[in-house]
Amino acid sequence: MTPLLERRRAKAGPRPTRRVSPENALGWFILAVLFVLVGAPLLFVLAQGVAPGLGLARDWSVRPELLGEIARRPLWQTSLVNSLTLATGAMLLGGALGTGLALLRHTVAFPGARLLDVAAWALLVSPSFVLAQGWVLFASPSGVAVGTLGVDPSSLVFSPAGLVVITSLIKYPFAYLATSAALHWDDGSYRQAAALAGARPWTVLRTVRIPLLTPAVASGAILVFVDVLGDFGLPAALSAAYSYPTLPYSIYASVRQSPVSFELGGVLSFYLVAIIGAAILLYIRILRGSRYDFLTGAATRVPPPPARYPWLWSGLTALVLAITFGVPLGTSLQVSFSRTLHGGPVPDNLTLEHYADIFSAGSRMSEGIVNSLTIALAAASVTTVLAFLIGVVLTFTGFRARFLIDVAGTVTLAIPGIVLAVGYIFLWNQPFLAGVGLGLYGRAELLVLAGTATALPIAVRLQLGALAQVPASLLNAAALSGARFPTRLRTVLAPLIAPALVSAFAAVLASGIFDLAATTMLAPPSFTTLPVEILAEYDRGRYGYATAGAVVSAVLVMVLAAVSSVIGRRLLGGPTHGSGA
Amino acid sequence: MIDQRHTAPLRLRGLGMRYGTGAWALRGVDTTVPAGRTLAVLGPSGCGKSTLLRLVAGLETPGEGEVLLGDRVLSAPGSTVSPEFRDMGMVFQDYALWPHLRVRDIIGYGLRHGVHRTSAGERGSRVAELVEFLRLDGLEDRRPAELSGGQRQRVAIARALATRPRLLLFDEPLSNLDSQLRGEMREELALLLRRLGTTALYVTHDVSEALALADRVLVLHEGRTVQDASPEEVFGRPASGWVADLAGFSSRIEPDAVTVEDGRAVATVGGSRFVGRDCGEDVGGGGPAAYLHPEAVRLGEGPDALPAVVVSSVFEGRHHRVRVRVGSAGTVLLHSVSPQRPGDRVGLEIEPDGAVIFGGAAEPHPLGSARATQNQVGGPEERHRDALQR
Repeated sequence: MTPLLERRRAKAGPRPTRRVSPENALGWFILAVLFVLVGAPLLFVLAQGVAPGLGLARDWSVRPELLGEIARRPLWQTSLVNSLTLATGAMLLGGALGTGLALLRHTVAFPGARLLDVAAWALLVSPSFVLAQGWVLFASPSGVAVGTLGVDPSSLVFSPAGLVVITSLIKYPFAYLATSAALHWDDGSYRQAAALAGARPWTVLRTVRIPLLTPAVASGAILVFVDVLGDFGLPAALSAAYSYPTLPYSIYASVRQSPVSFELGGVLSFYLVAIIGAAILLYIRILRGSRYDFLTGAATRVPPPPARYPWLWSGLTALVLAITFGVPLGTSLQVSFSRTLHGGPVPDNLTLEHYADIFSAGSRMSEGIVNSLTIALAAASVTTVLAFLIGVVLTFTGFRARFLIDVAGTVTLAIPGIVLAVGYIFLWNQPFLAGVGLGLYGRAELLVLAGTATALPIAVRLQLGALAQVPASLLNAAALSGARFPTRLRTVLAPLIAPALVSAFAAVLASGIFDLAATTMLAPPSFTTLPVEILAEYDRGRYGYATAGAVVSAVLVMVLAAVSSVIGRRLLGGPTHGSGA
Repeated sequence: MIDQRHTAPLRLRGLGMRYGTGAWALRGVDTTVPAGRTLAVLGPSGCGKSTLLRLVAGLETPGEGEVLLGDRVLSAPGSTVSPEFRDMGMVFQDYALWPHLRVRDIIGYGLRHGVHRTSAGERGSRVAELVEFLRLDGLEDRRPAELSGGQRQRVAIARALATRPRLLLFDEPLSNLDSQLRGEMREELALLLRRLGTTALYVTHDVSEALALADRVLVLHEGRTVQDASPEEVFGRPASGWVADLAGFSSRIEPDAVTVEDGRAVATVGGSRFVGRDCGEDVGGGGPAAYLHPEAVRLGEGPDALPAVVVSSVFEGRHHRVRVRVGSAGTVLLHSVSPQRPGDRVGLEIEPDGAVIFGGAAEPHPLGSARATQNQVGGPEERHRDALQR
């Protein structure tokens, strides 16, 4: 034993036992952060529904009867009915489309089948207002469809039924991915057992496969419903072409358009949260009631047999891609390179002027891109670290209030961005916060907080899977080697789940830069952000400029995500340096 | 070279724990491991041995009792010194080698991060020392995935030794190895523990491991101590039928009578007699009983042979596994070189050292006092009976 080591040992000698372990301290810290980010804003939103002006106006009072006013106020009612119509329609149509495509993808093999996966993910991460804008530009009376194809689908598209179809085409990936996940690992022994018991293929499908698949199909459809109900991007993009007020749009209008009406925002938010809460409860019930643990150790990836008419299914896939992906994004791309909307893809109509405008000195679009990028980078950094710590508390500690953290995560997943943003206004506008120098409303920092809250559930879920695969003994071994809790997280856990950390960072960055709901509601007046700028230019009719902004940002996001992947992997996943041994 | 002058005795005082408000996973465990000695904690899965190890390591907080290393109280109800401050090294069941690090970084980890940090030079020489000691030369730059099972285990041991711990913990470290390698590693570990002279706690469900490696064996059953004695005593004079069964005396028969003659127990079964070790009363309760080791039972026709009838005979490669019925006393398992026909009458010859017999009513046994452990409160009989009645 060397003297140095002995000195260290003496220092580390008998210590007082610890009452609050670092694990528990972290747990309480996380709870406090979640309360500030999610709990308090949500409470304020719900409180405004029955006590409008709470803390904000001088003469507020408790008026629970406001909730019943929805029966008498036409706008409130229309918003509710429109939202429910759109969400239910998309749930049925999008659910059927997603499930059907997933069944096709996993039942037979054909060239290009994987493109269905790619399309689903691409649609899922694309901002809905950009997709919806693409559809509007395509279908409007002077739009790309008329100019390029010579047909005018506007009367078909701009109707409740048409909107349901468009929404289904944008949101079907939820149902596709949920069903695919259940089909991906297919335990053949269940089907073989049924066949050996004498069941014909059709009977096997009816009595074994479909019942096992039902929960996945149902939960996928509910996810479509919840996402459509809370989506702000779609109605925001539509508002220029077709008046179809939904709950999120009316909430936005109540708080951001004159005359400001907190009671309208509060009551509609209350109904939105209540409906989504009920849907999420149903979703959890379905998942719990028939858990996917029928997948035994014997479950393997089953490669589907070759299709009998592969060209038929390849053609169908191409058609689906062309419609769901090609129409909206292709339209946006074409418009960004076109002088006029209706000019069509002819040489005379081609131009790079919109891109030149964006990159010209002092353009508001490039300013918006820089600002949104800065906010998204900050939010992605905070979110990734916070989600990592939440994952650690949930996976590796015996923190007593873990379930509260878990619940907060699920709740946040279900709260529409627009409601959270309204909550942020109600909370951070409170005079008492301004009194202590915390009046963040009207400051860019609030966008980072809102971005973090919005992205947190996804970032946590992206990391939980990786954390669950790390045996606790790897951390215990580090503890017994003398490493303190933060050192264990830094030297053992973070490098092991580096790929998940990087994915979470990239996902949050990509979605954060286009976060329309939070920036529309919370951005300071002089602070230009990308989504708000795109929407504003679009509303002004500068479609080429608006779509070019979206294209530039999308390319930038992809480049940044790729670069952060490479750098992240190298920083976190590489071998440790300077071992000194 | 790998001296462990800082080793210390480990004391457990009335240690117990339960998860939530459920049943106690461990209750009232008292024992002392003198400095430099090895205690094996033996028992089947679910007996509480892993809980015991986690309590000693500081990974759980006890519900009752204390853990002391030397004079230092490390754990007591509601408060626990964190693992990083306990001066312990542990070899995990799955080795827990960090997959992203190389062997030299794994071994040197504790000397680089945290409370045992040293200079790079010192760390280098310590790692080199351990690499040589555990025959890991040439593997320093490999990652765990590039090592064999035995090598992984040696790396895990090297890491546990790197910070010169005062206590070494082993959590079934051989259970992941195939049977041949397990035998080799058992020998290696026995030598290693002797050379190190560090106090060690070794948890296992394998009797031969416990007997080979430990200076003392603590047998746990349903969270309670049923025997805390030397390996020879656990094997030679198990405290109860349950321990005898765990030690490999797997056939139980109920003799008509048991007497003790010249320190030996004599069991009478249907007029025949056989001799075995006198184990006194079974602390788990019950009447007279004899437990026979399958290796100690032979087919024979001698005058003292115990008459029996073949029940079944199964070929197992090296021998036939034969089960015979001895009247109404019970069935006995034995290994035979030739197959036997069910229903055939055979005679059994039993080696005296291969039978342990409980319930001998005769002169007090000269070793009787040695059976009860010196450091148990309330006596093992009481606790074991209590455990069985729960």
